[in-house]
Amino acid sequence: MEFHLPPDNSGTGSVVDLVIAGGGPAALSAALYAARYGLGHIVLESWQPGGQAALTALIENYPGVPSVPGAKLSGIMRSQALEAGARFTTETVSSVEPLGEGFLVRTESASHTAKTLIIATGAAPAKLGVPGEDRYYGRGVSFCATCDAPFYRGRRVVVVGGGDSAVKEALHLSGVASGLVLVHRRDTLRAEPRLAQRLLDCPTCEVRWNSTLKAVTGDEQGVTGVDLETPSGLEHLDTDGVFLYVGTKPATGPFRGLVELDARGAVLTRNIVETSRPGVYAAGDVTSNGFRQVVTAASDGARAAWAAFEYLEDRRQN
Amino acid sequence: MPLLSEDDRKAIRQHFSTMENTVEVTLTHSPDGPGDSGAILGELAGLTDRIRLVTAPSPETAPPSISVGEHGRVRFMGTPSGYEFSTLLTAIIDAGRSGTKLSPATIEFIGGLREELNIMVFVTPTCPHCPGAGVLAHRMAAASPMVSASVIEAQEYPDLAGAHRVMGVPRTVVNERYHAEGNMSETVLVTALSRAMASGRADAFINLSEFIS
Ligand SMILES: Cc1cc2nc3c(=O)[nH]c(=O)nc-3n(C[C@H](O)[C@H](O)[C@H](O)COP(=O)(O)OP(=O)(O)OC[C@H]3O[C@@H](n4cnc5c(N)ncnc54)[C@H](O)[C@@H]3O)c2cc1C
Repeated sequence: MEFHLPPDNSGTGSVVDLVIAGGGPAALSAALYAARYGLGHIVLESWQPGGQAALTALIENYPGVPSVPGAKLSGIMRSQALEAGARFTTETVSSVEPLGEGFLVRTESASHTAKTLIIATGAAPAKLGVPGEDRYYGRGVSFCATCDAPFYRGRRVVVVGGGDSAVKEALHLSGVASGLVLVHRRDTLRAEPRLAQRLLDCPTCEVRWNSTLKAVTGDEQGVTGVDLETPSGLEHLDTDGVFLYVGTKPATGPFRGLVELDARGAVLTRNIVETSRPGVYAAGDVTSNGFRQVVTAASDGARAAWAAFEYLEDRRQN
Repeated sequence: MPLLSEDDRKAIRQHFSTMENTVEVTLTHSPDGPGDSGAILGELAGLTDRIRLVTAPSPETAPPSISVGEHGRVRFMGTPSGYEFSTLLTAIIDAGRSGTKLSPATIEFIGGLREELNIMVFVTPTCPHCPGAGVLAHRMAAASPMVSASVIEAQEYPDLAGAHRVMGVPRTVVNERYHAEGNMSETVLVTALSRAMASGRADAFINLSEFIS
């Protein structure tokens, strides 16, 4: 039996050297390094412990940890950061304002004043914007296979996407569903070849190549099917569930106007973690950095904490 | 062999050390006995003298349910494992501290209620989004006698989950009528709920996402 512990809930506001916004691998790694550098800091994390890493049943490509449930890996990172003296509070950052010497970071329930800030708020699943997607969200449309797989035991599911997440979560769902169709808009999977091969070998899985989802259809009870555009024309597939893994949207709402964003809405970075504003750093999936994995988020987090430390040291000396 | 590891026990003791009051936790269980829930609660009670554990056998064959606080408004239905463990622990720790973690806007909404709110939050133990929704409902219930909240492990209560058409979690259902999918933030959920209630709409099912601007 697994037991996940609650985040901390002090929530009274603080004055610190560094605020770390986020609760995924990037923030956890930044917190570990900030604590070890002795920086006065606070991690503000919304209620989604472990970030996206916790949304997957198995992570097999984090060096040093051969095969581990995502929630467990982020749990270990958190314990290690706590052990080093990291401080967490469960608060969602709503806005950041520059002050003379630093920043005022507002959350739903408190305000924090900080000399430096690390943005590590990651990303949320992107939507397709097709008819039926919002209407049936929670009634057959899902963005989280680990959360919702139990409702699809012995049922048919459609998974949309062709990258690592789509293929990994399709494999997870194929363990419970009676049949699975992966809908992908290209003619090859973009996922790691090893994962892609596992899906192609899965006896209960089918792939619809060069196909796109046009609509989710259903009735009062929930999803009953999907409409696809395929190379041979429009096709209707009966299904009980649709899982969408069609990319992510960076969680940068609270930082708009504070730092420069790219066309996707990600924080534009230079030298991996620097943003357009001195004293503000960004790490992990929230950045414009190309490759988005747990290991790269953790690496960015470490670099960002180091950069904040150097920035503060420079200020102290000058 | 204890269910909780030594590391977990250490972290939990730390959480419990912030409790100022004794909290009554009641476990209702079927004639089969208190099961895993009883074992988990027993281990928790062994880590602090701030928990008064009451065991209430019931003649009904139903999965276990747990109520936190003497008022009985904060309930948990099913075995508190996985992420649901953190929801239960948070309810206990909150009850042992004074004050509330709710925002002033939520307190104002609850204070102005003219009808009682019965909140159900359906969850699974493998859902990292779920504690956010469950904890919010529990905090609202703890803050007012006008609100009660049950966090329900959907797989252990398939009939209840089926009756509420649960196909994804977290799913919040208020007064059997208003429903919200996913973990909405406190501000979004409370604003949407107050707008929906004020709209006077009488439909059998009202999706709160329609009331988010
Ligand atoms: C289904 C799936 C499977 C995956 N599988 C793998 C894999 O096998 N291997 C691998 O390496 N990677 C995998 N990934 C990718 C990996 O999970 C991400 O790259 C990684 O989690 C990014 O970490 P992060 O810390 O940058 O952001 P996230 O993990 O997105 O974490 C961001 C955190 O910030 C919090 N947050 C957001 N906004 C705010 C705010 N305003 N205030 C406070 N907190 C906020 C969020 O709640 C969240 O906890 C997978 C992703 C998915 C979705």
